[in-house]
Amino acid sequence: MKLQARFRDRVHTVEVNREGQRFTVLVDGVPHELDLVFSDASHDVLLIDNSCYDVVSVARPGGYHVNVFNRFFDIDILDHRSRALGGGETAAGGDRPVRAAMPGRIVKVLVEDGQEVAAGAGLVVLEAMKMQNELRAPRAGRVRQLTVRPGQTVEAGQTLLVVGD
Amino acid sequence: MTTRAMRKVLIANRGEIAVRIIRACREMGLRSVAVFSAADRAALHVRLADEAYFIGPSPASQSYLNVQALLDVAARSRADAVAPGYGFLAENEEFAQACVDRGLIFVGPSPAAIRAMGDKIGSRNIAAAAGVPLVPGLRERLNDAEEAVRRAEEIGFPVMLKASAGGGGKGLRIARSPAEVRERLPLIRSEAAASFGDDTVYLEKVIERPRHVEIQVLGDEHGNLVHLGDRECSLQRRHQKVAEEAPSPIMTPELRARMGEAALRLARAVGYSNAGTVEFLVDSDRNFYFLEMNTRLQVEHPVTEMVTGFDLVAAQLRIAAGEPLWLRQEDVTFTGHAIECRIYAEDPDNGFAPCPGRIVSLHEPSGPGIRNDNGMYEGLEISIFYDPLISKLVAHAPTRARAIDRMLRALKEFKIGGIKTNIPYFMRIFADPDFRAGAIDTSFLDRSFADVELALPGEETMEELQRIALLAAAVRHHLELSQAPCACPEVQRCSPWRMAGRRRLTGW
Repeated sequence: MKLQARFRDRVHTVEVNREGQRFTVLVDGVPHELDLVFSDASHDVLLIDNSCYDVVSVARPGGYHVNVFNRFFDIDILDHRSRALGGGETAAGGDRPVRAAMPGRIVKVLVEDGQEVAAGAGLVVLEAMKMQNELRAPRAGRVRQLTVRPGQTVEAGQTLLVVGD
Repeated sequence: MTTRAMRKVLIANRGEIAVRIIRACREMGLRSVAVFSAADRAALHVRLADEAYFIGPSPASQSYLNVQALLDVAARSRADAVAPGYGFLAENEEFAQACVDRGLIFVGPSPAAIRAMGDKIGSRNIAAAAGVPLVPGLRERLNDAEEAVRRAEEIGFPVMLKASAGGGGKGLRIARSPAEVRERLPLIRSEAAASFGDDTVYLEKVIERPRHVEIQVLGDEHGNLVHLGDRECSLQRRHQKVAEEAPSPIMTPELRARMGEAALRLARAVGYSNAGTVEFLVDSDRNFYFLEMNTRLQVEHPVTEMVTGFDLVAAQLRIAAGEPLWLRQEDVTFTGHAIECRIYAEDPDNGFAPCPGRIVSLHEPSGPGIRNDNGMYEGLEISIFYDPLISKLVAHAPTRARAIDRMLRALKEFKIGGIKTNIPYFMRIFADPDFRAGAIDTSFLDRSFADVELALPGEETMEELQRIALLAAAVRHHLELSQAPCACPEVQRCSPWRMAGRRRLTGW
């Protein structure tokens, strides 16, 4: 299987070949031998070139949130096959509400209603538990139903805006 | 020996400390009664207790701070004792009094002792009368800014403006000049009124680069008191403790004896019973100054338990039942060195923002000298409503250096999937040469670790970790796509991304 994987702004070409629980994975042409010695819902124990890594990969829209030694990495997967299967960009399509994860106050609104945004673009800065958090676009698309303005307080789970087609 | 009947204990708390108290109850043959809010229906303390009662909605003000709801559960469950743990109502004299008034055993000191130590100006006066050294400063309230400036000039700048009802690192502001006193006095006064319902403010001299060293005391209801030695709590981020150790790296038997004696004089002055902690600041010449007394079990009590071998929670329960103290000061000995890390659900790469979420996988460290006072399990949702403390990891070893190495080993073993934690922050701190040399003070973390690139937990560079994450994501993706199709209708195909989209509250 061939795919592209993106970390921050770098896109890597990845080829995954599997034989039982053994994988040969080429990253930008460089081969790595992987042995998947344990795997459950989101937890994998991998021997990567015989070094042992206990990794938790939580699926999220468009990729995985990967924990290696309690460090976190957001890896995007860009893959034709998953699109064909109804995953990936297609699955990430449609109206996607952006909600407040916790009660808080809107500090900034970085976009306007109707604006085109890229996936991951900053939308709204929410202050909660005395911390400011930037909520980002869950997909590329157009901002719709922007209902909040700076200074407004919002409830946990409240839809702030929608990113749609 | 007069002991009261104690068969069933209501634990007026949640999280790891509720679990800790439940464990002590079970070992002592006492039935435990847990209480839970809406957010805590599935919490570990609910699962481990003998009985559990719903007490209200998720916000603490409507559940864990709801005195009436707790007293109602005590009555319904026929509990005969109430253990408050730390935080919430642990230092609330009205709650302690309400328990006593209903014939319940309050597992803590008397309401009078809580009241006496709850007010900083009042406790400074008691300490002074008991011959306990104080941080130089006022022992009465400030009336206005000009008086504050005059007193600050007498004492010498910089000074710390403090709310008398504050504590635990809250309600204090530094002032380095008369202008700053004038500017900050009204601020702290309004903060104090809002946070503590009391706008009484006084000032103290600032001790430069102090250590925070505290003494654990234990007294019975018959006037017997011992101290269980010291803890160093100088590792603080913005005045909040993040890791503690016992003994302090600067401790000597002679200093411990002097600080212990001072702590016992203060405890005796208020007729203190049960577990309590007297906090001191220690300057670079090892002079110590009384800071405040906490009239409850401390978060960091496990390090004292590790080096003394005493079970402080069991001791609290035995004392509360009226048992006379079963040990004398000479029975208290110290073995090795213990360190505790407060593991928080927070993101050290993003200003330590709270990081609630679901624990999707969990591997707890174990092995020689490791103890984990844990409040979570795999599958638990960490909510936004309470303190983000999810576990207290403790390492015990013969020496400080080996305790640090052991802690680093355990931190690397600790695998918490699904939420971010401050584990990488600890790994960075414990690798630091100054920390390892014991050269710390209360501003050490804010000075040296305010803005560092966080840590590599071993030999791998950040680039290698990124490559590993990339490989892991690719393998995971391959696994998810090659799984047998699920039974969902075609239109709802269970793509991992769609499932993730459904599970998540917010998009990315």
